[in-house]
Amino acid sequence: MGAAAAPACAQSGGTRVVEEHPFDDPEGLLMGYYSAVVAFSPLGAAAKAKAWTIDLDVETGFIPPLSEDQRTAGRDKPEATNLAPAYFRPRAAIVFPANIRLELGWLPPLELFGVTPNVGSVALSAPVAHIRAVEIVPRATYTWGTIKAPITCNSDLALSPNQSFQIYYQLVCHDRESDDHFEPSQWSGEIDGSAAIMGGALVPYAGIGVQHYDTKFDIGVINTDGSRDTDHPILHMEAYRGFGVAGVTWLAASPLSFSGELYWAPGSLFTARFLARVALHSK
Amino acid sequence: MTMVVVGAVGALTLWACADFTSPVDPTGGLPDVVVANPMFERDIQPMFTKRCAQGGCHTVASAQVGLVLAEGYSYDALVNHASSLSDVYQRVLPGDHTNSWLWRMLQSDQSLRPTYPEMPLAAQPLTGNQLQTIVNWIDEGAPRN
Repeated sequence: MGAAAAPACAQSGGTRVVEEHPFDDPEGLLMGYYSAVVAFSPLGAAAKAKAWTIDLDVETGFIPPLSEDQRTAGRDKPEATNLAPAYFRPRAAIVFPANIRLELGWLPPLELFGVTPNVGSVALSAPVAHIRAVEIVPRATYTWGTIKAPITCNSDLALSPNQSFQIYYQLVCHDRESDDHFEPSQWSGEIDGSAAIMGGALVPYAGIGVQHYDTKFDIGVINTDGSRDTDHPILHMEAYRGFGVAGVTWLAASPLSFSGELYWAPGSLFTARFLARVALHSK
Repeated sequence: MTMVVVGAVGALTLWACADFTSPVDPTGGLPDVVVANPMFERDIQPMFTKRCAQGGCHTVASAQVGLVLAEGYSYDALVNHASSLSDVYQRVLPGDHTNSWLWRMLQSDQSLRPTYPEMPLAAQPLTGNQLQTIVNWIDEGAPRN
């Protein structure tokens, strides 16, 4: 991504240029998009549970493909950003006294569709009020880690009918796939509300929040000797962005529950996420 | 209930999308005007810096085809300097843009440089106004000003 956006920098030696991008330029939008993809959203109503209840969850989310215009990041050459159509994230939560809930999530370093994530998430929430039947729960999250993928230099370029792309892969990419590192570091604060209906079988919920992105994209072009080509910049985007969630939790049969959620980060992503949960020690 | 959930899952997934339009700036963030009497440092070098002296391309570190277009290097690498891709042309022949390899590499007409792709490589071309500014600079003798 984004070698074309490099600023005026004559480089020699091994120092990396860090290139700042606003949220609304092509590279910033792409980084915002993938930051939103890995956001640690609530995915489920924070139902009251006894202290020391442990939830074991599996989350999956759809990663919508990007159009060629969205992938070009201001260039002609599209970035190979449509690698993974979905992700799977194991999660766990423990409920402390006063219904304080600590959630952990991890995208483990298993290569899937050429993408290798290693992203951790943590969240803390607790109910603070009831307004009629709606339980109000503030929630704070932090997500960090690395996602590795051949985005800047993908071998698809060598097979392209476009001669420029072939030459780019040969000369700029040194005939090798890049080892790009997408490095999100983001926290969020949100307010969620939920209310049980249908005798408690369904719990609709919704929330709004603010997310702070501090995202890097380390362009990892690999030299023929296997070293990292330091002539390419590290892209950096920092921004505050709003987001909203709406979903429903279905308490299927103890200890199982399922949740579906719409997640919207305006200017980045609108997607659906799903979660299956097993609650342990909840009685 | 199961059918409702499955149906909802399918419907929600169909709605998913990337919620942005990537802006296209054909000027490359550079002035898109014809400069009648261009100055190298003010009007020409910024184009090289922004569009050519980028990671992996014509930087000091990468120097593709032996050409560095970073500030402080570009003038001497271009003017009255033989092209490493052509036995015939100088990279910039002062006063004659059509016989300058730089101009040929920036044109969309492939016949001007058989076997070589248009520059900037795999990127938006310079605008017509930006190209004309380079033409004006070459035809005025490619001064180092």
